[in-house]
Amino acid sequence: MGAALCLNAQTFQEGFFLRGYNLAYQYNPAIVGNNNFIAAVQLSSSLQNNVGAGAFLYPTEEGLLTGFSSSIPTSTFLGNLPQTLHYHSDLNATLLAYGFWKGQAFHTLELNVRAVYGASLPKELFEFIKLGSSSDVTDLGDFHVGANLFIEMAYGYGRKINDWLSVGGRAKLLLPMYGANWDISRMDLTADQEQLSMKMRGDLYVTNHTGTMGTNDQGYWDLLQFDKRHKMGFIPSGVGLGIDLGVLFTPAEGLSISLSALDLGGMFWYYGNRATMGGSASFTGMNATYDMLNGDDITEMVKDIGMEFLSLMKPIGFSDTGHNWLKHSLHSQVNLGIKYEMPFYRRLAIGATGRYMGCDTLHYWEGRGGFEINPIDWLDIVADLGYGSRGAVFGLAAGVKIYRFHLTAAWQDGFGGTLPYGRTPIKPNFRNITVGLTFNL
Amino acid sequence: MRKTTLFLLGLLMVAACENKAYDTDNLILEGRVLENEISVPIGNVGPFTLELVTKSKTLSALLGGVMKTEEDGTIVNVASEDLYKINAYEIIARCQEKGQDLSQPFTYEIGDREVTPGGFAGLLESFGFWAVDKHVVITATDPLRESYTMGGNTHIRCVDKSTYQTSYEETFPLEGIVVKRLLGRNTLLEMTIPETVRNSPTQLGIKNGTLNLPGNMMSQIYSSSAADFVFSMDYTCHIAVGDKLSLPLSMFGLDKLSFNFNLPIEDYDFKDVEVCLDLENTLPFNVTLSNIQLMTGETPTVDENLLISPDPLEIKGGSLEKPATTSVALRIQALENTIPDITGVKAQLAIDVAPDYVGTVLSLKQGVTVKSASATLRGGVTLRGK
Repeated sequence: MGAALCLNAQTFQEGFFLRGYNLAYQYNPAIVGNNNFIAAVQLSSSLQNNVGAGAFLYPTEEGLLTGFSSSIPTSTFLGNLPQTLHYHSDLNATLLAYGFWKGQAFHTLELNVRAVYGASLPKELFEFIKLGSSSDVTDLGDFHVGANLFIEMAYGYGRKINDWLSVGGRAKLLLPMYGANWDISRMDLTADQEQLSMKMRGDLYVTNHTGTMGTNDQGYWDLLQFDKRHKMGFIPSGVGLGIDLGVLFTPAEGLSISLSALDLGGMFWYYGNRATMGGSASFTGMNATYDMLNGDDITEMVKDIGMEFLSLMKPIGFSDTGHNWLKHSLHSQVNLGIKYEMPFYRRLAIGATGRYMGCDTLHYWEGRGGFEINPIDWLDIVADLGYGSRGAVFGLAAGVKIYRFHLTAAWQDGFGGTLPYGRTPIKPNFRNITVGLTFNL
Repeated sequence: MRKTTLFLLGLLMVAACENKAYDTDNLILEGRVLENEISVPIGNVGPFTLELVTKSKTLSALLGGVMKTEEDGTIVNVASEDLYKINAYEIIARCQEKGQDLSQPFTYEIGDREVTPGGFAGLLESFGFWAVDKHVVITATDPLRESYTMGGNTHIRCVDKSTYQTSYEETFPLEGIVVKRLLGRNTLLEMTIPETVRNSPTQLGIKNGTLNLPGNMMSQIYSSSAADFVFSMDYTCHIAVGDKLSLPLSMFGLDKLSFNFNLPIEDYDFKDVEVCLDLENTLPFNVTLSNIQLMTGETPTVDENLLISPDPLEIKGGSLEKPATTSVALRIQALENTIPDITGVKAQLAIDVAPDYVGTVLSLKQGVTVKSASATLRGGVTLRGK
């Protein structure tokens, strides 16, 4: 089974500070709400990239140059690239959330739809393009592109043990629905005087909810033969489980210490359509006659050689369905938060948070310090500033209470700006934007 | 509160604003890739054979008709021309003027009728090539109903072009040779000049020739519209490499206009290319190219920005049966910018014979083939965006 995209946990650190934030249990399941509530909707969008557009684009007096420009030192361009380039985006829509007290415990039920997409590339790919081959064989494998959509059904339980300790946990049933993943696990390039060759191994996984991919006579996937009759409908393409655990300490009045571990677990996807691609292609030299040295023939020959190499990318249908399962890891997260309400002005609190997320080769840590102010009963504002593995970060959040409605908006981002017309980050970044509306029952 | 608000707003601006310095409307798509040395195989190119000569419009015009080839590609120098032609009625008129009695058999003198056979063999002999397999045929026609006989001799004389001394001379009597009326021609002489003679004939034909004609010849003429007596010669030979072969330094050139030669490498923006190759030569002489210059442009002109090495380039001689291989590392560098399309190459050419191949006959199939070529790019490839 291959590995695929990491799936982000959908939390923002400021949720720990926001007063009356009904969905704070998503940050730490031990945080129990004061009210029963129902959430109409919460939308969250996360973007994590460990390399920004600024690693590829360089503004100069001449204009905007690429990292491949002869005016940009090679060491500068390649030095700005991490070993594996990651670009991941996570969209989450909470369709329904219900929290209620029963007895001593606070229970939550949640229904989410989540979409994750992204890509990762090896740095060796850019090294090869920029420098050429520095060894007999250049390994350009470890390439992933994917997009996946799944449903999350969660049940949470939080309970105050005593005046200073609360515990909680959430169990999340994950139901994969639609997805497509492309992995290239091996791409060996050899370029020397004897041969130009490539050995490649790749896999393409597509769920078969919309239909079954057809194949032509040679066994290659053929979109023209796509069979829509074999739709899976709403039957999940696999199953997964995620666990959140949390502890909340309140040793003194106004002081809260939160510790939680989120998204422990994973998912198993079944991709009804699977294809392999790869093999080897080599060029050991042409046989050109004098008459072919008129330009067009040589160009056609070079094109044919290029097509032979590109043909390695043609997907061949894989009929052994026992190998169509793919494991997705959840982006496990550990959070630590401390909050202290000022004794002289309880509407003001200061605090700090720390976070570590890990999944395959994609790791992220950060620490933030900030404050929360509740100047009037219906308005709550949080702001923080910190530093993490993507550089300096900041966060802003606000909660507005109107009657029993509670509107929440949060924005976490890094510094460095974005490209015009598209908001692609210029620097490595971790960005999260969350907007939600709940109703206190 | 106000300060806090301002601080937060400032934070927002720094973080969220679009950085106009990264406006992709100003993007310059120029890049240098594969900066380290990278090698790729090219394979085999060619052969570049003597047949290229036939593709040159100038040389084709000069040699057309006199250069043929055998089935196996061996070059043949062909010369065919009339030694002498006279109409039967003219003979009768001339004899009548002299008061000859034409009612009886009579003799008509045609005298010396010799030519120097045409073709390029003589020219090549000046440079040390040998004429070999030299075959001579002298023929005659009979426009009369009856046959006739001839007198005199056929004559062949060859001269060594380097010393201007006679290298061969022979006469063959025509006495007793009967010329009959045939659909084709009557052979007066057919022979192969000895191989010890390296030269083509400078004099070939009939000496002191006479025609012994029948009486009442007027009534013997078969057709008044075809009444010519025609005496012809055919000479063929092959060209071989001589032991004193030494062409003077002359120019070698291949270009887009004359030979449709074009290397379209401009799009790849190379700056420094080294091509390692094995040159397989089946031409029986050593070739030295010096002062090699590359040409560029639609009208090929020498490009001083391009350097090529090694210079001189020496290629060992070989044969079709035993090709000779010379390993060469050919390097082309652009002093500034990159190498454009190469539309021609010219060089000074020196040729001398490889001792083992003296006497080897020239064939259009002989030439040079590039074997096992590979290219090494240094300094990268410049890509220009469009």
